[in-house]
Amino acid sequence: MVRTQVDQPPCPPGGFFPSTLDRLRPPSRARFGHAFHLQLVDNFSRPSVMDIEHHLRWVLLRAQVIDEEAFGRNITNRAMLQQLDMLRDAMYQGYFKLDGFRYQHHNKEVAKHKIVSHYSLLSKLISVKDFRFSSGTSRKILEELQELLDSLSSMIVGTNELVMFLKSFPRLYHQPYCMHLVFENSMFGRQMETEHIISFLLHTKPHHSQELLEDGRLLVVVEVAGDLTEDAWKKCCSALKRCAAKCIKIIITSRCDNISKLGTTGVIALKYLRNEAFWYFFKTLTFGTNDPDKHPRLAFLAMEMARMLNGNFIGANGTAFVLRDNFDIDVWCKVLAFFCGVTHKHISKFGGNPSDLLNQNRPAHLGRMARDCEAFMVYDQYHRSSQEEVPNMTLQDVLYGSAKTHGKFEVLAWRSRIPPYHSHVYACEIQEPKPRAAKRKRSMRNGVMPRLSQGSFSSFDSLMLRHRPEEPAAAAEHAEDGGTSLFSDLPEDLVAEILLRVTPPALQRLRHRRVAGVCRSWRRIIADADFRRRYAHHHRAEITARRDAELALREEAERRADYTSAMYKKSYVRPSRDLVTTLSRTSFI
Amino acid sequence: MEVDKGKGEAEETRKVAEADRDTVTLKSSDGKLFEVSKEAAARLSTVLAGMIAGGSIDDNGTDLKQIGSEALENVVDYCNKHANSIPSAALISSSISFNTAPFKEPEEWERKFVDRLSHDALFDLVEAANFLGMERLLDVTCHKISEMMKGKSPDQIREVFNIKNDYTKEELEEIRQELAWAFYDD
Repeated sequence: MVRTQVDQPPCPPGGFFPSTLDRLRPPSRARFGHAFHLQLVDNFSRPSVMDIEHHLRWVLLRAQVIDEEAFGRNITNRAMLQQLDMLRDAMYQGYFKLDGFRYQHHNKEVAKHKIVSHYSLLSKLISVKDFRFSSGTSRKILEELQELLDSLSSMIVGTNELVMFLKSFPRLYHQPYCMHLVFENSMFGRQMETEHIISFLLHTKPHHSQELLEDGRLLVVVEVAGDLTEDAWKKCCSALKRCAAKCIKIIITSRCDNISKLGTTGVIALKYLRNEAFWYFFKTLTFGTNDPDKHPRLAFLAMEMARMLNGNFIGANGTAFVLRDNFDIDVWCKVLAFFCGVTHKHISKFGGNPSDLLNQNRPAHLGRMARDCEAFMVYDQYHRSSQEEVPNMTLQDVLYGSAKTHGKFEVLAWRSRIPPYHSHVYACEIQEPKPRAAKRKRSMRNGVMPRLSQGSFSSFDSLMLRHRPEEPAAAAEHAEDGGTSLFSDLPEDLVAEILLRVTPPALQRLRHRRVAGVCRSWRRIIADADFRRRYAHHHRAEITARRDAELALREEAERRADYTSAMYKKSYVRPSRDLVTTLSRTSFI
Repeated sequence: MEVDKGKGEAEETRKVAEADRDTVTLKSSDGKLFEVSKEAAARLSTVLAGMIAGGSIDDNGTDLKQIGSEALENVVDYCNKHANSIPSAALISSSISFNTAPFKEPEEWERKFVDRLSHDALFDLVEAANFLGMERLLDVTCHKISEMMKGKSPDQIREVFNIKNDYTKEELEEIRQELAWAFYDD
């Protein structure tokens, strides 16, 4: 049982405030008579955070009731589905904010009393400024929650007729298959998409309706891994048409956008879950039947983990599995510390969250919890059908366990529990820690050059040859620096090749001060007139775009300051450096 | 899967190539031998093309003393993968006028190819590509390194690439004051 059960609506606490009283419409006024009385007394005092928190909880539960009721029914009305989607979004957001606030609050208490032994370790890893709520004052939090409460409760009032019509739609039979869908959350929050596909599958052309009774209907699901040209697709279609089946439905799935022109109906775009929805998903998955409210410390840890996972579905499943099996704060702390370590390392080394790379199916460097000296890399990920063989080793074994393998291999990242039981497999590698040589050898620079024949060279070779004589000097200079830097081994012309490709910043001119600020040789390289000419040539598209943006900015500046108008008019004719300088100074005033 | 597939197909092409005696044997600085098809070598590397045309290819392994075995393995891997991928218009045009045309974005497989490399291997590969005159590979690897600098401060860049800061405080301040040169001032 994954979805949290709504047993009894909690009794709204005392201190109702007028703005929400009429919107909430508690089922029985008599039941809350006491609360109502209190409200009259407190009418003029400001509502406390606690009050808002309880009200928000109550409203969220109501939203949840509607959501779960709707999910169990086969709704065909488009507008209703849209409205439900909006309500669901608001609900996820509400839970995200509320949980964030509640567990954050709790976390501060924990920190004060130092209850958790691991806490000091964690607080080092997670910088406090990352926290969503710690920066705001209590008043700000209050306003935020109040705003959320208002919008949610007005939304619920708006769903009156929706709830009424909901009854008219048939209930979905909870056959085992549907139960899977509901319990495993496989179709989490995707009711609109589900209904869309079901109606597509059930849709038949009127004059073909008798075929429904016959056999020979065929459903083809095509998964496009790379690029699919229209020619190839046409061939594929004609091959399908030659099949015996009379009624064929084809569903194409792909990560690329370019399949959109192949289909005959609209495209259903499945985006990654937003942060708020992902938290709700991860919470239900990790806590299962346990109530997160009873384990606020664990919930806090889970929230941080969800933030790090960044919408990664496979990661969420794997992690939730481990967490649920080890429902213990020490283990959770360890896992979170591991997450932090991997993410920080990845960001400092490659400049991005590993989950983002995994989401885009790009190679990512992960680590292993038990043996942190080993580098664990994921190269590629793909589906396997149930007929194909899948690896025995799971991703959890590698990440959290002590599986002893090295080299390249495959792991099972996730196996679907609903037919057709697809498996998701990662191709990965564990690199054994190798003792790094203190100094990389580069003595062969002046070794034998291969004999070059004449005539067949492109301009690049001449470039290479032209720069060659300068190398020894450059190398000697780098050697003086004494570092084992990766760049110190490169001749300057290659460093220039790399720096040439650094894209110009979109709207700010700081980048090149940044590059120049790294070290002297880089500054020298980018100051070279030849380099500048080539740079301007290679990036002319971006530079034109920037110039346009600057012109727009200039217009803006012109509107603001009349006295400079004469000067700026000149700049339309020929933008020059001096005018840019003037602009950047004036725009700061 | 792509890695395995690449290897499997590489082996297959190697076998076919051996039958035709249509391969070039390359020898790394530490004496390891690698084979690559003559066609791919000539197409991708101007230096190797020159050597093939000039007849300076040694059947027992052409010495490439500047290139270590790891880098050479990557080079050969790249050649094989390149042979298996469909050359797109971007590839062809970029090889014609390297020095003047804007850089073409790396293809998906090329991105994956460089993404999986460690920093050391990547820098070794830049040098190997430069030495062998493999424009496209140089393009792809340099692009990857330049991407690593995206959105980073000088301090972060220095940290990532382990570059020593050889500026004095005053000089850094001077750079901060100095206006960046405009890109289009000529």
